[in-house]
Amino acid sequence: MEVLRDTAKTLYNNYKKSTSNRTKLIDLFIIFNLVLAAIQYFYMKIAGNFPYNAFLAGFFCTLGTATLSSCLRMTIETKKANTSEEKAFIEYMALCLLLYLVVLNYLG
Amino acid sequence: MELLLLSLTVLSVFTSAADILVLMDHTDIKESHSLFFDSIISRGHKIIYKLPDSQGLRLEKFDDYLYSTVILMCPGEGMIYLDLNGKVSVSDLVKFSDNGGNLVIFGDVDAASHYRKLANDFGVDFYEQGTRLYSEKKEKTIATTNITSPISILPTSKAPIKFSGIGLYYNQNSKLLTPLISTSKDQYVRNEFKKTDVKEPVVFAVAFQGRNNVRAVFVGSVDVCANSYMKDDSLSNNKMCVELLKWAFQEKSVLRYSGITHYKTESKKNKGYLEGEYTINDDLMFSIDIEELKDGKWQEYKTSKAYVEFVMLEPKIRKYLEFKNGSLVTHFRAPDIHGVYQFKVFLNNPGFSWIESATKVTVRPYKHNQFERFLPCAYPYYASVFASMSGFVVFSFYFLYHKNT
Repeated sequence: MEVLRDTAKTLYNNYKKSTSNRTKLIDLFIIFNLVLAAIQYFYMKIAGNFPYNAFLAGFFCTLGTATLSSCLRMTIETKKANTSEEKAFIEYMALCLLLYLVVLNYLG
Repeated sequence: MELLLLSLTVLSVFTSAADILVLMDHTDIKESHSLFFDSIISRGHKIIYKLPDSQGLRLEKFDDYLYSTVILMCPGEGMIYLDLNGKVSVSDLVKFSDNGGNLVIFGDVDAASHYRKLANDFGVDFYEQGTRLYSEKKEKTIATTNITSPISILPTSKAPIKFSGIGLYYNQNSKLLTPLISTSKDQYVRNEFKKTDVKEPVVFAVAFQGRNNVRAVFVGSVDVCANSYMKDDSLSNNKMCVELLKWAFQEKSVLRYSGITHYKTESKKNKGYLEGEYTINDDLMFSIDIEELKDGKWQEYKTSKAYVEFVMLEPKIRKYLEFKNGSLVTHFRAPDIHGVYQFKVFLNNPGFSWIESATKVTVRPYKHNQFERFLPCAYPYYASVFASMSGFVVFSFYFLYHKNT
């Protein structure tokens, strides 16, 4: 138990020190979306999946933005990718907007 | 040739069409019931008097009935099957009734078996041969005020009705039969052959109205409407006989319906327009006009007992109709099940004509774009989608315009 708590503490402190503000922002956004997805899943378990299209739209909207944000994080963090930051962000924004277009149409 | 045709048409205009046939045992009845027959003639009818075995007696000619009503006052005379002399049989009379003819049948203590057979076809039977109704004072004539009929057939009266004859059994479960006049307390039935007395309430006049609204009246004695009783003002025989015949001749308590309309409550422009196709869960309005024949004129009839059923294999909705602006209306929501429905209207007031009508409509299911769209139970999903999108906007703003450390 002690060992686990110590490792968690050092992990957390290292994370706070070594990551840039921007990366932390991306991480926060990913966790926000995953929490929303979890909320929707548990709501579906309680209330049944009657408007199935609404459930799928909401669930995959949050999951999709989470995965796209993690892709952005990977592109920005690693130096192996040859794209510049602007290009990465524009790709990210375009894909997110496409995702939202599809989700909004499937929602109603 | 033309002259012959012309003379024939002229003759047919001049020969008056009698619409009532009276079959009697003996011609004395014409005199002994003269007041009775006069009351009929004064209302504009024409009577033909015949004996049951007279030559050329026929009810129909070329499939057209010659009379609208037949009054039978011949309990003792035999009727056998139709033979060359043209006698009228029991099955002829029943066919006459089936096809719209009214019957008034006066029986008696010595009613022969053909009379009983005729009555049996309507669900009525005379008491056994040899029985007779006796009054409390052991006389053969009884006076009773016990009128069990609805006001639509006979009016109420304080004066008694004098009667001397036989009682009637009738099928009490039938909605087509209505008992009219019954014996008072302490009047009994005596069987002359077996010499037994039975003290029970006995009905001696029964009214029948068939499903096609033909009417038949059965009375247990020919003398109920004889002159001696009709002249007496202290008795109500006169009033009862006249009203009974008015009912039997379809001059009284006759109803008809018209103007069945149904439409969606929303379609205000098309009110009165018969729409054929409705969608499930539509709000429907239904309206029907019922009129009553009063003194020869049709007037609107107010009732609270008419109801409409919305039927598909079984009534899914049943609502009583309310009287509004001259017609009977109601409104209800079409059920959730689609299919071919019928609006069935029923009015079963005893004594009045039966009203039964059916109108067919279709109720279709929703079109693909008529379902509800944004349901309250899916609000969390909508909320999460918009939260995610607004989060994306805020995130991209911070990502682009804030310094990275």
